[in-house]
Amino acid sequence: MNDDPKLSPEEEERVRWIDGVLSPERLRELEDSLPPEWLQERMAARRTGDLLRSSLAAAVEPPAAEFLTGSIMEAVAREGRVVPRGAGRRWQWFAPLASAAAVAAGFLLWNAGHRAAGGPLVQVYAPDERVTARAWVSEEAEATVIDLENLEALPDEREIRAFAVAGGERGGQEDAVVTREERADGRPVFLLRGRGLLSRDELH
Amino acid sequence: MEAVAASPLPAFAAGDPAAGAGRGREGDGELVRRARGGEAAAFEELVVRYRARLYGMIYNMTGHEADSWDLTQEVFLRAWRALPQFEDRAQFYTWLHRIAHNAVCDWVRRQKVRGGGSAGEFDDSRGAVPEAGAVTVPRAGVGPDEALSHKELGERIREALEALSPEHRAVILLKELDGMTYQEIAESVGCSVGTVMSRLFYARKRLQLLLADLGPGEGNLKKDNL
Repeated sequence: MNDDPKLSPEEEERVRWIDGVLSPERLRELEDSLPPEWLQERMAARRTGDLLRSSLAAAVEPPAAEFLTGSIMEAVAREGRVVPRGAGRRWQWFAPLASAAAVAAGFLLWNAGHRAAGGPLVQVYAPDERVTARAWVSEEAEATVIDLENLEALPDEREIRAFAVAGGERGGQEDAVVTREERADGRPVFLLRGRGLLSRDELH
Repeated sequence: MEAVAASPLPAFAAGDPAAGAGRGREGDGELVRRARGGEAAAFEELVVRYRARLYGMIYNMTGHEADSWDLTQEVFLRAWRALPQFEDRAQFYTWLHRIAHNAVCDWVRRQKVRGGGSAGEFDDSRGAVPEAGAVTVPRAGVGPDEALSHKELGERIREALEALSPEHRAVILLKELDGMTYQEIAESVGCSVGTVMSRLFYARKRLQLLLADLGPGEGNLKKDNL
């Protein structure tokens, strides 16, 4: 903890003068009798302020800003005391979905060979038979989109951002990554991509 | 990391009921009122509105990107929990900053316990080359020599800030970067206006000593402003 000496009234006035917050009346009174050291001190203070502003920003968009917002709102949803409304739907799906995805996608198998042979793009196994899956290739996303329905939520403490699929095959690569995304209508989907298509940042 | 603003505050003041007026933005007061009623969408709007400013402040205090990210998340969550206690007469950002200040102080204490020294001295991310657009990266168009100068200057200033106590660091950053008044700083860090002025006075002295070798020509200083 800091323990600075208390400033004298004269020193406080000097600080106010340096910061330009003295009253106009007091400023006029001081104008003709300003000690030279005050001027030097103001120059030094302004130089320090300029140095700080030249190198640091007051506002900096955090990395993965949208994901940060989503994480905050996910945590808020876990707190309860939330009124469900249309505008809130964007994040409300995430908590149960991200958890449930762990179960379903844990059994995803990437199968490029089947696709080439006219077979399914992916094979999906979920322990709950009510879960249905559709998959298609999205050129725009450069990914296979997996649309899972009727997933049940797992405990909220399971935080899933993305997960790897082991044992798959895709153009010689043996791994793929599944990430959760959101469709234009707000429904969640998963994207299955070869690891080589993703940068590290995309996983967070 | 994207630097949103290199200059002090945006034109609209935090907590100003008229914030964003004429820009189709809802004022903080109305958003806070709705969020207090449990409307998460309103709180999300506040998060989006203030995340860059809050993250910037925390990052300038800690110098640690990952921890700043986590702290930003923690602060907003604490704010959500404390919203029922928020008083309407307060400015939302000042109140939010008070929560952030406490969280950063907790972080500093934890770092001292873990590292036995000043917070961040063991931090590998300190001094790392920032991403394009990050706080210490010069804007596009500067030449290599100038870019190097900016980077070195940024590192020097970060080192100097780190040498200040967290109390001094907070006050001088809030004054010089955030453009807060003495009263707002006092509310943000939880002390009297007199203490703010005292901390500012000594923080400036210390920084001037630490940066004494940087002449007025460094950091694109404008002599006519001095």
